[in-house]
Amino acid sequence: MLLPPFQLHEPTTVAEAVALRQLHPESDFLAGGTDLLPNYKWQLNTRPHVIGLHKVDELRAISPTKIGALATLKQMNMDGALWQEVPVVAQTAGLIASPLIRNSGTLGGNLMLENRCFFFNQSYVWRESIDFCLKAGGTACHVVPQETKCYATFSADLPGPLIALGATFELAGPSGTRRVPAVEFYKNDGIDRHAKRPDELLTFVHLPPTASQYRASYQKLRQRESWDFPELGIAVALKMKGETVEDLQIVANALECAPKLLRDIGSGLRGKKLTDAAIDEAAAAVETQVRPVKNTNLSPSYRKRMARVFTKRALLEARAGGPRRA
Amino acid sequence: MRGHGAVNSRCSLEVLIDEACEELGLDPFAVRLQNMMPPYSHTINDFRITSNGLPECLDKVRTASRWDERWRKMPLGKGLGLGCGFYISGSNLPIHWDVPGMPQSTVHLKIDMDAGVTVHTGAAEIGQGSDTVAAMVVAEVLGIRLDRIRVYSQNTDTAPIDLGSYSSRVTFMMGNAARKAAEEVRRELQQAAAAVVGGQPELFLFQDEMVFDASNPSRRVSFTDAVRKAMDHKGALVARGSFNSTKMGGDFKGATAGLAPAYSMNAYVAEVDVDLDTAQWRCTKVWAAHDCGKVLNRLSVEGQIEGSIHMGLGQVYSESLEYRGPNLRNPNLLDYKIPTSIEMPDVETFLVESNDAEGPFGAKEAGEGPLLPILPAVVNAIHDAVGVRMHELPITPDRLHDQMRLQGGWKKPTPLGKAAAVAVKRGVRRP
Repeated sequence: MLLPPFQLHEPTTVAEAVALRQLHPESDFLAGGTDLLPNYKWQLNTRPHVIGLHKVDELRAISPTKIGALATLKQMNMDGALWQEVPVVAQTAGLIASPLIRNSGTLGGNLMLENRCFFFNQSYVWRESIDFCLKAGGTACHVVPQETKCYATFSADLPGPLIALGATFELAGPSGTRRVPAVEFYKNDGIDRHAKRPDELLTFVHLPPTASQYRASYQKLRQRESWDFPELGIAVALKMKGETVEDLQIVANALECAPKLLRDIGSGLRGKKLTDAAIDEAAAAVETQVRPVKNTNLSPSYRKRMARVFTKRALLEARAGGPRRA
Repeated sequence: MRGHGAVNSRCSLEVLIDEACEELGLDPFAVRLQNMMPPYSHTINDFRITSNGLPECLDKVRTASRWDERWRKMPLGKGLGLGCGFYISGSNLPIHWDVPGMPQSTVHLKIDMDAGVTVHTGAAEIGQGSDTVAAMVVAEVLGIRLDRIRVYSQNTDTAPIDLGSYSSRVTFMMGNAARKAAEEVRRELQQAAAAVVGGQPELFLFQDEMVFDASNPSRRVSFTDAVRKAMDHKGALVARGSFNSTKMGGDFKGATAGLAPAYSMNAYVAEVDVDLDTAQWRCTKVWAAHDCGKVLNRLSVEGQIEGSIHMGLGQVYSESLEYRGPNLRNPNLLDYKIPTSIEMPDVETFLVESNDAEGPFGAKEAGEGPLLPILPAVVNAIHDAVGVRMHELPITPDRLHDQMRLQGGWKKPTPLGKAAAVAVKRGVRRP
């Protein structure tokens, strides 16, 4: 399918990019393009103006406390300081898609990844032939037909560990910048997906200095070990105080329309020893709290069961110290 | 997709044999060896079987996979499975119904002043190496280097009739046609060589670009000189060869289905590793023995086998066309999941040469046949690994996990000796 025509703008600063966005409300920001351009080719949410960010060099910097939205997944996966301080972030970047896609795909692109669904990620003719679904501008959801909400699945990986580690996202808009905690950024709705206003640009991810005190893990299920989107992802961040849990955050990812921080399960373990039995109990609790629907390749009931398995794996890895660079 | 129609039924049958073996307490290798058709025999539905290298195929993979030490004895989650197959070396029934006597394959051959050979064929080179086969067959007959030969294939202006690249027919049928064409021109060259150096034409042999008298090898001319002599006052040497498969098969309705002048045979053992938590599985190793008669080009045959394993593995692992009503739900290569290089197992190939009496230099097919055994080998290996028998493909982890729950958990199948004792107790008569 051909890329539809659009006018490309090439700002060199964040301020210019935000100004261009105001000038052309019918526009998209383009970073690595590995999600946006394939969607354009399928005529999904195409816009006449595209604001390419490839010259905005201020957004490329990577440090363990601040990562620019234009950092590529490859760079994050290769960054020694990230591996040192927040290894789960570096590791997760390397679990996304395939090496070719990671070469151009960016942090910002992954955080803003369009939700996915069988009935949305199809050609125009296909979508038209079964009557457009809600997300494609129609009136009914084809996944849960009685619903008026869109169930497209959240398919980005990095938000899982970033939420678990307490990251905040920096947004630049016409009236300046603001920060939103990652955990409040996403909404459990396949269409109205996040807190970013249309005139804002996601610029940086800030990790709290305490993030490096956590042992974290991200466990991803996918059918093929390359380039498949997650069927589920479990992120955990664990902080120990001696023998007992001081803080534990568990995020169930890629199972619903947004990543889900399971606060009560994590806080329930505070002050307790993280025994095998405690891990099994927490994993079982995760299974009961996630609600996948049938719009990815593997069945929802299986993904629910696997949420338990992958939570256990994540907790075991975190308890053992977290991922190490291969 | 190769081998359409045969792949799924072969998989079902091989899995059924495995199930029967389990119930009877018999070794899958022993059952196959005991029930095998001998070479040069007829099946009950009047298939004419010529060469059959299946016993040797079975022997190769049994030894290489250390089957006797490992099958049913590997730890829970790991297993071995056997799958066999056979495949037509070209459909006996031509796809043109209304042109009696038209050859199934024809090859035109021309040798001009520079002693360069042009081979014209309608066989379609689709990446499988049919041009190479055409050149190699001609080079073998004329005892010349491959770089003397130019193959012009699938050009409708110049190509003679050929039914096409389907039913794994090209090596057998086009190869035979090419051989006949080369033999026709060879007779002219024998005459020419004898005219130059004396001797009986039919005694002249072709090797290393030389034409020499077998009874007195010092009587020799170069291939080039033989060509020039043969062309004297005539011009280029032209020849043609064709192939028609003989009438075969019974008189009953449907008797023509599956008839072929020869059949490839094969036996694969697959090794799998099943994750007991998630039911995700990987095929970790394949031992693949294929009887393609005579190996004309080792690299090509091995490539065909490895490619077949990849393609067949996709059908067991992840590939399926998912429909929602009339709409194909996964019409793209992200959602239609072809295994990647990461999912590809290590493959050890064994080429068994049964030297078919009618194949070109004894060759049979290596196109679609090598795909068949991988599917049942994997399905049977999964059963050996975790005791779950899958009757639906692809074996996605959710399906396998569901089936495990239905059966009440993973369980290593009963070891052979014990299963045999149970079968005897149930009244099964031992052979």
